[in-house]
Amino acid sequence: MVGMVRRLFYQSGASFFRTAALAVAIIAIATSGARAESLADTGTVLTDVSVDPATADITRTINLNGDTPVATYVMAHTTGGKSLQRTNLGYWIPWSGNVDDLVDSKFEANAGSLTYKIIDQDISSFMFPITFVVAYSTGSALKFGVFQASPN
Amino acid sequence: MSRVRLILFGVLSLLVAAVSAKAQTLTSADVQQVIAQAVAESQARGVASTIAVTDRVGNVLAVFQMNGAANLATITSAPRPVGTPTAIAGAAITSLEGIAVTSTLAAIAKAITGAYLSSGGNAFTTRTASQIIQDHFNPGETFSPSGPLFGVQFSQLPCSDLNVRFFDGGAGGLVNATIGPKRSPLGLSADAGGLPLYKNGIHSGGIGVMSDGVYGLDLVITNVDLDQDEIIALAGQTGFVPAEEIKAYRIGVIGKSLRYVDAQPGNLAANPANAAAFGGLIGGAAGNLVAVLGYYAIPNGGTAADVLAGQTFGQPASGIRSDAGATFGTFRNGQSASILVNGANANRFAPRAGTDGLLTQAEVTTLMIAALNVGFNARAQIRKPFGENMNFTVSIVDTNGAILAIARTPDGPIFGIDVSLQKARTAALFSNFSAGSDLTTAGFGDRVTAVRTFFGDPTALNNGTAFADRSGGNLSRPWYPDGFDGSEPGPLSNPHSTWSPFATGLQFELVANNLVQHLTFIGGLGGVPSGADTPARCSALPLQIATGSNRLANGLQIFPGSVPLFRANVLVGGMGVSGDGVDQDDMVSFLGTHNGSVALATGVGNAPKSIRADNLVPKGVRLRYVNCPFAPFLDTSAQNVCAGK
Repeated sequence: MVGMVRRLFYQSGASFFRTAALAVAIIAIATSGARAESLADTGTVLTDVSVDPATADITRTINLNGDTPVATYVMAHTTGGKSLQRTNLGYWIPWSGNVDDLVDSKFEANAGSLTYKIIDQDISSFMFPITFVVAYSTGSALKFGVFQASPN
Repeated sequence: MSRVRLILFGVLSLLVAAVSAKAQTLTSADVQQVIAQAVAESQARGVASTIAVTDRVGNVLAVFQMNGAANLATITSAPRPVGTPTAIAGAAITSLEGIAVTSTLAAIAKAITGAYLSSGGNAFTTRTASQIIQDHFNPGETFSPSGPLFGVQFSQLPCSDLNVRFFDGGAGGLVNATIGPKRSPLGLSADAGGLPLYKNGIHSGGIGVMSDGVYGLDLVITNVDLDQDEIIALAGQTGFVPAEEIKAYRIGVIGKSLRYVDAQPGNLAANPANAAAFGGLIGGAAGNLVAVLGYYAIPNGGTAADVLAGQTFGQPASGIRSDAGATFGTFRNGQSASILVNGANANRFAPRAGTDGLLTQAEVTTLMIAALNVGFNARAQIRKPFGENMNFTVSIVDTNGAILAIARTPDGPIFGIDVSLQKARTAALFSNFSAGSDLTTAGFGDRVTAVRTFFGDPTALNNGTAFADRSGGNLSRPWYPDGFDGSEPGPLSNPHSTWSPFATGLQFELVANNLVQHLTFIGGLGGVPSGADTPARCSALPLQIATGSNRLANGLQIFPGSVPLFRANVLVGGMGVSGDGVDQDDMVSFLGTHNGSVALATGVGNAPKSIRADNLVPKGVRLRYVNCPFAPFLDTSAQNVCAGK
């Protein structure tokens, strides 16, 4: 970013303003990543992660903001075209994409937050990035958030 | 004895197949030759180039930067008098005009374009792309409609959820490593200097050159200009040229010949046969192989070992192989469809039921077969020799934008994979009752307002009107109606005064943030790589729990070739087709849906006539829904095949 700002002084006219607008845009995007990790019924974008595919270990702690989950869900969509969901025993089984077919992964809330143990295994046979969806039901609402995992 | 003969025949067949596959695949030595030839031409001209080579599915095989080559290239459609577009609330920027990107990315995008637009039946270049994406076809012909592939430049985007990513640390180790189609850092390019490569007459890849520091397009088609990038690319292509018969200039669209290149071999300053060996060019002698984050790595220190061989197109490692009739059966002359496969050679997008419960797997399969059948029996528009069937890709999505199926004809140009999906999603989104609210939520309420003002209907985009991509495209041209210079712009387009292929309007605005984020991440703006890459999820439309993504996850497309799918008055998804002429693409989607509907008899089919967008007559000009070719089939003389359906 410093390099970009420095270059601005060597540009002029419309090009300067174009690049300046771009720099502002980059700053806006960079700062938009700082957000609370909570879910919403319209979905929230959670922070993406980088993992070693051979030893992927992904957990996610979600602030419940007063909600009381009655069921929890974890789903995954791979670039290779697979749609999967995690069972309460940690198995990944196919998911149709229909919320009526979701299986409760039975994670329990603790002190106002919910920690999802999403994966702890070799996932190098899957195509990346993998989109993970974490969700919980309050009985009256289904709240979810998404993030993507890429190899580091 | 007969058993021995059978075994011998089998072994022989395998050997022939292996030799044949090798004969059409770029080897590392081939790639080195291509680069060496381009370097020799550059040296003869006293210029320094950046050269990229890809295989047919977009795997970057090498990026070579000559000593002294400009690090940056400026995106511009100058001398077009482009004003500064008005900022749109939902987008970080409204144009790519004036932005400088690294030359390596420009070269890669150009190579990918040469590879993706071409096939065994058509050899297209970035100059061809320039001809077919502008406000007029041909460019500069006032009062003529826009190019037939208007908007295709914003496909193959780095945020696509379909196109595959290269991960630098995992070359060779990850299943993504060789699987295509790969994404492009800047979408498709219209800047001269991107050419396809044909090995032994078989389409094998592409070369892209950036030497002049300008990433633009050809605004004047009436002249023959000697573009430096194109001449150097032409030198690199020597020995890997397509058959003369399939070059773009032998192919016509609505009576106008397409342009292949302006430069000719006679313009070369050096004899490619005398090019120095590649080994003598690297390590700083003439330049270096350079890593490009997210696209190309040099784990061997930039030695010749880092120049990769291409994948054999049609083999599982390329990400595309024959279905062999397993899923969709066989078609005209016993042909099978092709499918996209993952690293385990499994179909990535085998037919499945809708995530919204509105389409069954059997319905999706039948619709796919019906569409493929129309296309396999239809006469190709952009292929030679005459008399071949269409080659294309067809995609079906549900109302969430979830991919329910993708299949291809074997030789469909690669760009049509991502574009067919864009088209399917675009038709499904704009036909959805939630279209207006989705766009408003994403920050494009002003575009929604513009559409409602345009129609004089405050419910537009929330009233369930069925929009084919041809209809949405009508609204996305800088003049309405298309080709009526001086008329007002379509509400989804920038006004002509601020329009350019790098600033199309809503289409670009939707993915602007993704592009900026990606370019920042890979250092593509010339700075130090920083931040995180764009997610594989274009646009900021509302998330859908069914997909973990949104309804336009690989971007909006604005040229024809898709229809929404309905069950009676209920939207159930969309079908998109891309790869041949736009009228042919329209026909496959519309007639394929119709034929599938007849076969299914479950109520799924095209939108009821009463809700199609061609009922709308804004500004006194009726929107179009689809436009089918007049006598499209190879084996029958049937005419007006879409009429009345």
